[in-house]
Amino acid sequence: MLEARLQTGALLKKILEAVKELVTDANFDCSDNGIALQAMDNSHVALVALLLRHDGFEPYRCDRSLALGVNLVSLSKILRCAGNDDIITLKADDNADVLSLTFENTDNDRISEYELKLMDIDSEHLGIPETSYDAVVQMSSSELLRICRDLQSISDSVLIDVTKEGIKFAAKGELGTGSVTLKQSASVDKEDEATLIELQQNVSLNFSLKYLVNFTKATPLSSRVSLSISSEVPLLVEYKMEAGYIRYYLAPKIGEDN
Amino acid sequence: MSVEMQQRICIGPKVSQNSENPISILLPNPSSGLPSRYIIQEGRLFEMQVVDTEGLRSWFVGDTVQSDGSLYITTPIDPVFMFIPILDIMRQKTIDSEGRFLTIDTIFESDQYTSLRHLSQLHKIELSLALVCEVRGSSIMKTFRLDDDKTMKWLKQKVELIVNKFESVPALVESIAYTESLPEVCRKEAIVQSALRLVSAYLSDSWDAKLAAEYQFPELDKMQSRTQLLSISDFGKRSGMDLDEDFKADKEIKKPKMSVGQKKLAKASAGMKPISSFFAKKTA
Repeated sequence: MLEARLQTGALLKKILEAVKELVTDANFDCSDNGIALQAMDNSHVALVALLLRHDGFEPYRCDRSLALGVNLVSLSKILRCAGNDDIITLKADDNADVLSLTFENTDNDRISEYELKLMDIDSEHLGIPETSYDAVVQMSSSELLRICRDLQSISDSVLIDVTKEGIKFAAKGELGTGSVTLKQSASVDKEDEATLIELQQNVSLNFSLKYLVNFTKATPLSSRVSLSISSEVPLLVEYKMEAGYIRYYLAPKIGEDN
Repeated sequence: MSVEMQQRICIGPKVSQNSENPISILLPNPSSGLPSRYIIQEGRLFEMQVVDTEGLRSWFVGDTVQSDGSLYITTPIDPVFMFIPILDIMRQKTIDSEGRFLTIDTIFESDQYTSLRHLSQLHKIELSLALVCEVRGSSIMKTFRLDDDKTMKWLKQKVELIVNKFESVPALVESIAYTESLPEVCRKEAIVQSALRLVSAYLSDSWDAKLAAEYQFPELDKMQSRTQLLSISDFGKRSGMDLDEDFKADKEIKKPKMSVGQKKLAKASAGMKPISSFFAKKTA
């Protein structure tokens, strides 16, 4: 059986917000390691991989590996009933057909209990190889959010250019063009806003802005985000959390001139 | 020393009672180049594998509990595998020159891995080096330089060695179980291929590629093109069957309801390759 108690319910709420637009149904794979989720979007061009390590829960117990098939929209509906400061406990028996959720509010001694019906989902896990990327850019997550939103008004896709000087996001559409460049910076006093680039070689790739905007729904989870880019392989957008991560992979757009 | 002695559970080779203490050192892994843990004892080299339990398990030792529940396994490794990448770098081969001859001391000198010098103390080090090196100089002052042909010959001998012993290792035989229904030629090729992969696991990418180029598997390739065979080296990780068919089947079973946002995304996905063309499927 699974029993996992999360001190800050807000975390789970934010995670659901970060994946539910991209994925409809998915398995939460619970093991003694923690809770993981891997799923492709409906068009199979993007992949989200989520991990909540066991040490993020107190206590965490999972005797046997379980796959909990969940409709993410339904789960987020239930989580909307939880307060941000609530302690959330997830429970499921082996072979259970429901996931039970308990929200405890210590301030006013309120306990609410919900059960979510589970479903059988045939999920195929993709093996993601260890890749050494041509460019890894660490930057402020809210900056990425703003850039993607801004450029979306220009075009559907963005050309990301990384050189040792900086990272440039450029869009070209019917109404005109637009671009945002972030210089590699070492602003010591504002660590959260620094843009750090590890570069093996320059890269220049096209990505769908709609998808990127969708990934930035994870912005509340972390003040930092890393973009790992190599030509010919999917872009990796990673938000690290205290005990885990959420990673998005997106296939580059091909056959599009700028 | 002020370092506290830690107790660990380890499966290792038998050593005599009065043998010296093992030296534990970090060396560059011959395949990845990343630092890995190795043990030297009695002039022999061992590699260490850890079954890491990430602090979730413990051991009972007699009447006590030991909190570190990891299992350490040390197995002998042919030091020549370690030498090849080191020699490869140290000879500084260029297009014009075959590179430098070096003494044992200089070969194992590294600022990054100071423990490399321990390798020079290994038993019969000169003989091991001579297996893959051209040797020059007198018996007092011998110098070595990696020889590509010798190395390739040595690697091929390693593959052959595994091929000869293949049938005596149940785990290996099991790994090519898929060939049972296939003709004998295929099985023979599968054995060589499997042995090749075992050796390759200890090689850098460049040597791996060179060695692989020496072998051809015409029968297996023919089979592969007809049906997708399970790949053998990726223990546990298997490539799926026909990808497209899986997708089609999925769609027929159910069409998930899409939210507005998802419909927008579906439109935006034009011009992109499916993610499964980058990442291979594996069965859970």
